[in-house]
Amino acid sequence: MNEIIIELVLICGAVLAAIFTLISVNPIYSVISLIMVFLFSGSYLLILSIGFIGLAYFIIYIGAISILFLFAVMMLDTKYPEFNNILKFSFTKYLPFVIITLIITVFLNYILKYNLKQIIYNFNNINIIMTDSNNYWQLFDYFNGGLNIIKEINYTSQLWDTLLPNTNQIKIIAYSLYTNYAFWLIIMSLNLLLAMIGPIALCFNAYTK
Amino acid sequence: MIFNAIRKATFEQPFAVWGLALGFAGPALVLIVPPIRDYMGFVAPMSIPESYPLPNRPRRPTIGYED
Amino acid sequence: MLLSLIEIFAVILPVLLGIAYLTLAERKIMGSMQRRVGPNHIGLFGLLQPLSDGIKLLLKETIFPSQSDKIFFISAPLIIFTVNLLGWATIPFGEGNSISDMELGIIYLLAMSSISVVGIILAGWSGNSKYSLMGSLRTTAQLISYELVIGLTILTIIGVVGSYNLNEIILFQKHSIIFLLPLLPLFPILFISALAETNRVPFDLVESESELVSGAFTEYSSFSFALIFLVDKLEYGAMISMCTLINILFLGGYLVPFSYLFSDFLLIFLEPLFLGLKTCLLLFIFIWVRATLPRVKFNQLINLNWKCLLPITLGLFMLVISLLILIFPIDNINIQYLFLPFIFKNFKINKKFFNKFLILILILGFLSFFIYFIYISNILTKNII
Repeated sequence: MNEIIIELVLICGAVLAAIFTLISVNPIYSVISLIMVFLFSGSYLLILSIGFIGLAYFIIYIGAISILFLFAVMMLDTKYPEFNNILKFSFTKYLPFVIITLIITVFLNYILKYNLKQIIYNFNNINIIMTDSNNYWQLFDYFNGGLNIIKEINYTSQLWDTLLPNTNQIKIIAYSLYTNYAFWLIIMSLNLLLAMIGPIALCFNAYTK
Repeated sequence: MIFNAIRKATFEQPFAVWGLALGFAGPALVLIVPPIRDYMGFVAPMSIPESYPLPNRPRRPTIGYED
Repeated sequence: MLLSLIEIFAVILPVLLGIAYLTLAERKIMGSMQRRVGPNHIGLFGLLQPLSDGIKLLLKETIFPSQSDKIFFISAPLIIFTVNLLGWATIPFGEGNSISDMELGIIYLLAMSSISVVGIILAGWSGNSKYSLMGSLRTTAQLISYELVIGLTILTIIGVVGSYNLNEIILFQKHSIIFLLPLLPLFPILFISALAETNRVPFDLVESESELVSGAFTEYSSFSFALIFLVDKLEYGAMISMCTLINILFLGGYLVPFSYLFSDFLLIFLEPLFLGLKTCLLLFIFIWVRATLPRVKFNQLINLNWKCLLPITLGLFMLVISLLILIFPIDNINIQYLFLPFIFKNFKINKKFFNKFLILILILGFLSFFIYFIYISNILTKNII
């Protein structure tokens, strides 16, 4: 019962903090609520016993990214009147661009899923056992069968007990990331590259006016 | 030419040079040492068995309450 | 519930007492090194000095700057206090004697230290003072850059041990040798970066005591200042936790030398004692450094990290990991396959087309990376499964 309450608090907190990031006028408050989102979701992952990813949330998102955001935002003078005009970013202007990229990524995912399935997945040969929780493997199963959480776990691999003596979370993640899901890792890195180049392009347009 | 440049760099940026030297020494050792070691007559110890040998036959269908 | 509360208090109260008496120890040791007496009036040999300091701080008036952001001004010291104390949850005081013996203990410690930086930034910003803001910016620049070196040294040790658990790191040293001897060059690197991480004297640009009052915490007074002062990232609390971390990584934590001489019952009491003794030795060196060395400039501080410590740590990391691969070959992965694509025979470059070739490399860079990745992934899947 207690765990359910804690989970509910964490989920609701994460959603509320996410809403606050969008609503709040002061950029510092929005960054702080972004940190709260990471904190809640990271601790939710900890409760789901996906400890490594949860702690990686703390280290990477809070420790590095949000602090860089805070650095940048603290330097701005928020009382400066034209600052609010910059903040009022016209979503409609770039909406078609956003939609096109979304469609492309989704489309790419589906195409590659069916073409490269033979190369990338050896889905019958997954030799990964779950250590801590039953929800563990399904998180990585997202691209295979959609977010199919109720699906039963595939224990029918050939040599599943070779990894039994020395499994921990990081090894499981490493094996799955660099073997069966290597392609998706590359796709994710491409997305990250797009996310890095995109803001530069947007800012460039804003300043040349 | 290259040797002189490296020698100059050891005085100007000693830490970078030593770091690079240490860093490249590792993979070089991994590539160079095993052939020499094999030539000298080194036999790698057997790895610790992590599982029992599997029978070379298709899996039997389970019957009853067998897990 | 009650038992776990007692457990937690049994860790927190000694930590707070230790922090309080570390301040006294520092003043006494500094005094004896500078041919002074040090505090000796309150209590026997000045033993009650930290208590009187604390009471004095609590009795002062709490001042909130009128332009400050009240919510963050109050919550920032609380964040720093709780997060720094949370780090003590995983530290083992004896064999299997810790609040939570979690699998990813050392990552947990790093995560807690990275969260507490948020508290420092908030403390600097919420006071609405230029000087505290600049102090917090300098602090975070220093902390983030030196956290890199600390993370790399920890990663090297994790590579050797093969586990993120603090207990297993110590037990590895028990069955082989303490890491101070085989990884000797890493120890001073970690020690120097710990000095910088806790903003101790050769690197205390943030709160250089004669010029800048207390860095990011200039606007704080009385109780909130006492909270920061106790478990601050920059001062004594961080010193003790960093020294314990160095102790666990390099000196073997709670290990008792010649432990076969003692009975198991006696070892239960000796192990925490030896953890404390080794930590105290490191703390004494921290204070010793403060009494001897002058302060460096800010560019020297940043150069030391990025130009000296980081390259050497990266090189040592590569060396140690490849030596491990050499000595203990990985069963599942045949390492020679990884180097196959890079070995070209009879490969010559025409100088005229060299520039075009470079551009071609840039264009095909991603593609080759992609193909290499799929190639490697196939090899790995074949070898593992």
